[in-house]
This record gives sequence, C-alpha cells and structure tokens, in this order.
Amino acid sequence: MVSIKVPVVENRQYPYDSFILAVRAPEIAQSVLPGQFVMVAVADRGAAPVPLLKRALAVYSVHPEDGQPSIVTFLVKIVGEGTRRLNSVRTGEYLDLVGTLGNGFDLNRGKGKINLLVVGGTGIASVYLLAEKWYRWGEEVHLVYGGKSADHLIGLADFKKLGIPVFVTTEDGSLGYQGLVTQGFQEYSSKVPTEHINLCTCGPNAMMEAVTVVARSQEIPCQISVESKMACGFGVCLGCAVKTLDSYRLACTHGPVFDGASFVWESDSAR
Amino acid sequence: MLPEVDLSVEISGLRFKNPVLTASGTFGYGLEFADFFDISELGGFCTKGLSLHPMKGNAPGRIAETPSGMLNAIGLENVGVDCFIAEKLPLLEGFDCLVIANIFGKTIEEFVALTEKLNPHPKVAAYELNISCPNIKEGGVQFGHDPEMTHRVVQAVSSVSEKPVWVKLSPNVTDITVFARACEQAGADAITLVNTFVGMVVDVHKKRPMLSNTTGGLSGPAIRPLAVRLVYQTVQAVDIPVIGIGGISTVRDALEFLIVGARAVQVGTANFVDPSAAARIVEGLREHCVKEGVSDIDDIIGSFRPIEEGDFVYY
Repeated sequence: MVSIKVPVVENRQYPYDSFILAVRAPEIAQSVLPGQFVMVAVADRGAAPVPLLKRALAVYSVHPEDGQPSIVTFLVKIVGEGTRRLNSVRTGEYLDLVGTLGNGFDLNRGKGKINLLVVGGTGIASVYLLAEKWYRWGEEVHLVYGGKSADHLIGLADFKKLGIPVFVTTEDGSLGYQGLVTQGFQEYSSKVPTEHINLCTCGPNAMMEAVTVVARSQEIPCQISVESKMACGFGVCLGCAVKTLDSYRLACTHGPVFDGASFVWESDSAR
Repeated sequence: MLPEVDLSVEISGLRFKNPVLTASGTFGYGLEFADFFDISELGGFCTKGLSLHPMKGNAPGRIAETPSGMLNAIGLENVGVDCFIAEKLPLLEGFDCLVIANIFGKTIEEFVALTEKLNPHPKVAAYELNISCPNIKEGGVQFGHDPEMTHRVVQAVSSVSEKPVWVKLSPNVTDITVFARACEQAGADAITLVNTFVGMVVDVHKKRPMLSNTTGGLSGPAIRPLAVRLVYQTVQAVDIPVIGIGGISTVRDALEFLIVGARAVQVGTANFVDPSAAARIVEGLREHCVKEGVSDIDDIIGSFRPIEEGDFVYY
C-alpha cells in the first residue's frame, strides 16, 4: 500500500456524466490485480474539504510507458460531490491516491471455464483487467454488458478491441438485445452447459442480486464485486461492513469481491 | 541543520516524545498504518476500543459523509482483549511509541476485568476508558452521561490499575466540567476529549436514516471549534492533564488545542483521509517551533491569552 500524489494525464468525457481519468502511477500500475481499487481525491484540497473523504474507484485499465506499466485509468460516473469534483480535474493537475486496495477476483476459478462477465452500467469499471488477464492466459471470456441505451455503454469498444465475444443489452433497444442485462444473461447462459460457467458480476445491487439468485439456483459459481461507503479503504474505519452468511465483512479488505453464494442482500432481510 | 526542539510532553507520569497521538477507532491496532509511515514517529496511539469479548459491530449502513465531516455508528466492532493480547500486542513490541489501550465494558466489573487482563503487559502504557461511545445501547455512554456512574467506574478501574488511567469524555452533555471533575475526584490521571457528537442524516429518497443505527457520532473538521471550546473549558476546571481531540487535520488545528491548554492531541478522522496525517503534524509542529523560535513545546501549551476587560480584536 502506498499513499501518493500523482499527475492526471488525461480526463476524457463520455455521455451521461461518465468519464475516464488517466493518471501516471507506476506504483499502482505494477501491483494492481483485477478487481482491486484505489482511494482517490483531488490533491491539495485544504484542511476541511467538502467532501471530506476520498472516493473508492476500481482500476479500469493499465497502460505501459517505456515498456513498463505506468498509466492507471479509472472509469467513473458522476453520482455526487466527490465524483463531480474528480470530473473537473484537468491534465497536469494532481490526485492523491491510496492503494492498491482490496482482494480482487479469484483468477484461478476461471481456469478451464467459460468465464461470463455480467455487467450493468458503470460496473464495467471493475472487470476490464479481469477480462484482459484471462484472455491473455488463453481462458475463454465472454462479456454480457447492459445499459439504458447504446450511449450508456462506456468502454464497450475496449472489450471489442480485446477480441472477446460481447453480448450487449439495452433497455431501449438502441443496441443489441432489448431488455435488462439480467434477461440477457439468462438468454446467453442458456446456450452453455452450466457446469462449465464461471460467473463474475458487477453493477447496481438489484442487478447483482438478480444474477446471484440465478447463479445459486443453477449452482453456478459466482463472484460479485460490491460497493459500500467507506472512509479509509484499508480496514481501519470499519465503516464499509457488508453482510455475509457467516458474519459482517469489510468491503475494503475482505472484498470488494465476494462469493455470491454467501452474500446477504438488503432485500434478504425483508424476506 | 534545524535547531533542536524539545517536543516531548509529560502526561500522567509518562513521557511522550511528542504531543501527537492518534485517536481510538481511527488507527486500528496501529499495525495497519505501518505501510504509510513509521509509527514510532508518533507520541503514542490509542487502540480501537477493546471489550472483554469480540464484538461484531452494527449492521451495514455504518457511515455517512457530512459537510467537512462524517457520521459513524460502527458499534464498537473489535477483536476482543484476549485476541489483542495474543495477536496484536506482540507485533507492537518493535515500535518505539506508547500504546494506550482504549477499553470499554457493559458493567463496572467488565471494565475492571479488562484492566486486570491488560495490567501484566508492559507494552500497554496507559488505559483510556471509553465511557462515551454514542453508538451502543449498553455500556459506554451509560457511564459517561451520569457523573455518579462516571465516578464509580473511574474509581473502580483506578483502584486495580497498575498504569495511568485516562478517561475519554462525551461532548453530548450539558456541562462537561461536571464530568471532568468527577473523573479527577475518582482518581483519573488524565482526561481525553471529545468523543463524537451525536448526529443524524436522512436519506431523502428512501425517507430513512442513512445509518442502520439511526444516529451516529459526528467527527472531522466540522466539529473542531466545538471541541476546542470544550477542551478550553475543561482545562480551566481540572488540574489533571487534558488531551484534545476533535477534527484535527493540520498543525494549525493541533496548535489551537495546545494553546488553550491541552497537554497533547489525538488525530482521528484525518487518518482516514490521509494515512500519514499524524506524522505530517509531528513534523509540522517541529517546523512551527523552529520558525517561532520556541525550543520547548511546553512553552506553547497553555499559552492562550484570554480577552480581558476592555480588550478588542482587529483581524
């Protein structure tokens, strides 16, 4: 883990309040595992910044400079003051990072499997490195990616460029299958023998919950990458607790990737 | 080379190499910060609150951000004192900073039992009794909101303790000096304040509290002026040392507390925002003293100049 100040090399804007921030951070670029995250804030914010806390952002992709991993990107959607402030940074400005954090995906689970990445919206930020890693290992990787419309599917081109099969769903039918990503997932997975599937999902809670319900009923192994409000990111504030069948776990150090079979959703408590 | 500055302070018979400590609940068991800086640079640190048995804490929905601050209702999740002694304490041996064990119990007997369990361990330099956690129903604050109960628990722990006893006070009372005096009379060696202020944040879409505990404790820069005032008041009320806590994230913030008379400070929420905040404040204090021509930090502590009859202030 390091706490470092790094320069922004690019802030590229996308439709619907999305953006990809690229920073030069070799310490992170060389150590990050698929599914890990970094705590991020604009640097030099003064003694009493608003908002006070850094934001937890998954590392989206890593790029080399002079043959060495150096550039780290974050794919972000504006959801509040913290992400709004990050959206306004320009090339040459600095960010404070604390990372690399979290457990990341269990890569070995994907060996010899048909790896299905089921992603809703900005959840795409957590799975690019995973797709890239398995693809380079020669494992079979498929992406099922859903959003409101074609313009909401940020990063789609990156996955296509990687050369993996992509199944797209949009709620308005502007691209691919018309419907929810969870419907697309069921449609897509029905063509594959379930015993070969290894599932990873990231997206809104309701969507991930629906995916895990299907996975549980068909006994498909499923890793989920969750979000939780956190103050520190490294296991000290204990604020980001989530519920699993055994106990409360911290999204920052025990996660953000959990086994879908043992995760307890908010709606489970109402059942 | 910079001139030598003596940053060390004496509190309850213990010599701290500098007056910067870290606050309970914001620094884990110390080890979590070893990646970011050498924790031997600190005067000391307070452990996460320890109970007789492990506690799993409150249900999710534990924190909410507020303007220049945050609300937490962790629910005193901790590994329990036995695990702390067996697994954490040995790893702290190598660090040259004083470890203050923050302890809390549901009953006076539990406070006493915790003290007796920790007494034989020399790495624990002092106890900080948490009688002020706002986030659990039993224990903690039931002792901190009734001066008679405060007196009883402090007296009970002091009578068995082989180490200095500090008491961490709640700011959620009408007159904090009543509680500070109760501690002093019961034999406390120092007072630390403030714990968090009780607050509440509502999710306006769901029309529900943001925290599963409904209310939580407010910390961060937002509470600093409230804390400075309470520390100032308390310093006037008791003769035992006072340690100031509340929204400290810069050297300037720490100086405010020292000037009004706090013998040391604890850095809390700032550790989340910048994991090396406390080390930065130690270094900043040294630089401040050099710049001001101060050779001993004791010359800053309590150097406050109150407004007197006829005074006025232009900025």
